[in-house]
Amino acid sequence: MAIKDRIENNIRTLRFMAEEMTQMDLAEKVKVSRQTIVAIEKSKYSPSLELAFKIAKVFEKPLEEVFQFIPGDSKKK
Amino acid sequence: MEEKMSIQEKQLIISIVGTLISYGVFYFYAFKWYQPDGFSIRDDMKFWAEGLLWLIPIQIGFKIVPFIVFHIIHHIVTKEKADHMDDEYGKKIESKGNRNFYYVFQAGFYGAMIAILLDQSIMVIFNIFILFGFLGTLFMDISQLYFYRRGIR
Repeated sequence: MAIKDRIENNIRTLRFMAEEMTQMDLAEKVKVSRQTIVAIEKSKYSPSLELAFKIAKVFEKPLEEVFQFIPGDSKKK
Repeated sequence: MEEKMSIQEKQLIISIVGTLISYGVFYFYAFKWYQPDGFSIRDDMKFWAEGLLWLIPIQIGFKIVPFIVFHIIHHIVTKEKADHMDDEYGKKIESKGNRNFYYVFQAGFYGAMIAILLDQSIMVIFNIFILFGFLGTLFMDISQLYFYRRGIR
């Protein structure tokens, strides 16, 4: 079975390092619901580029330190 | 570990229960009052058109009012704000749910057209619309619940 491309993230770790910021705090900072942060942390949802940048800005990190693109094994024909 | 149900999921469950109750109430009274003897086609159409319009206040009573009450109680109990519920994730899930509603309703629409071609009664035609509206709403909410649980990638 082909493994799909996916986006992983370090939000949980970054929140912990940012004085244990809660999911609700982060959600309020980037103006989304807590459920959206939960889904992003669990890689159940890949955020828009705009939201990804906003999250990275909260942690004052470059985007690629927060989100990583993991290529799957799908082959282009 | 089983994760806690989110406010969006609770909202959808209220909507599903509200849909079941409101359509249940609608059908209970519709068939109680439906007396087709001596009805002309126009009377039949008027009866079901009126019934469809009655569905609006019924749904307000059984869906929107409980929804408002739920939000008030949820805020008092959890102190959690229901801000930004219509963010990009919510909107994407909602649009997938709406798409599913239209798939089901479209099937009902074609079903009603086939019923017309087969010379079925006005009652049958209207009820195909109503039934598929009901099934579509249910499918929309259940699919949104599924997407909130499984996520969208």
